Amino acid sequence: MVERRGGGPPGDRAGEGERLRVCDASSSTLRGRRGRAIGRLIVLRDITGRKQAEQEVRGSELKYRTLFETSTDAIFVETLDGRVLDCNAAACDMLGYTKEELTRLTVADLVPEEVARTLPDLITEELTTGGAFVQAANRRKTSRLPVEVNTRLVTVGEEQLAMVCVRDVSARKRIEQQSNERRLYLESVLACAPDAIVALDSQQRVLDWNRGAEELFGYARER
Amino acid sequence: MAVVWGLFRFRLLDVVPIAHSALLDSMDNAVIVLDRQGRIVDVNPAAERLIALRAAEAIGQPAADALPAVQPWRSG
Repeated sequence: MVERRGGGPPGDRAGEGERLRVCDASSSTLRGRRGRAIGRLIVLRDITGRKQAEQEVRGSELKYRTLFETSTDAIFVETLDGRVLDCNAAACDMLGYTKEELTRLTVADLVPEEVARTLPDLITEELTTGGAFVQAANRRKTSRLPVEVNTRLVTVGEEQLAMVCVRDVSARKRIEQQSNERRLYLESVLACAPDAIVALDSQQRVLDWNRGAEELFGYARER
Repeated sequence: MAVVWGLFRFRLLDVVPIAHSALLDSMDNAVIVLDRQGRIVDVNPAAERLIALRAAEAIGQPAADALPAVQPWRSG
């Protein structure tokens, strides 16, 4: 079979306007009684539809592969027993492995031991995390980072796989911790100040009342 | 002997060419027959649709002119 892309007048003009047609072409020699070539028989099979479908699939694959690879979240495609089949660049960056290394590992290799002990043998629909939950992930078993994990089961062909989306929440955790420390610091400043400090809202309702205010006004903070 | 009997009894000589013709007419694949000089001598309806040429226009034309993009006849 020879594939030829049709184009240009007049032979490859398709019935529908001037659209290009893609054909599989086969040709054989027609022979007379004495075996002499007397002509050729050409059979053309219009495979434009199939080629277009293939192109659409390739385009769609490229689109999803780009989304997959450019995601800032680490994405793992895993078997239900936790073997990593595929992962994106963010997964490699997050955990410090190459893709080849990751696809030889299981989930149990990527989480701290105490988390690995709690992992199920097989992920089931009930065990997927529609919402997110936070746990630790191992970075080449040398350091840990807090992550938010979202697991969904998907059916690919006849196989059921787990799509695991992992977000590094180190920055968020750090901000939370800094904000907590700042709050504690301000609370201690308020508590230790010898002056009476009273915080009021716009309706003049008391929001806060420090020890200095307790001593000056004679009312305890908690009533 | 049986073949000769069959030819006359079932009029096979009439049926087979008709069947071949009907088959070619009903095929989705385009069939084009060229002579030794590379001229088109027959096309089926699927070929007419594919190359957007009626059989009457296509027959007698050199295939290289009628089908410049499809040239498997160059080999063999």
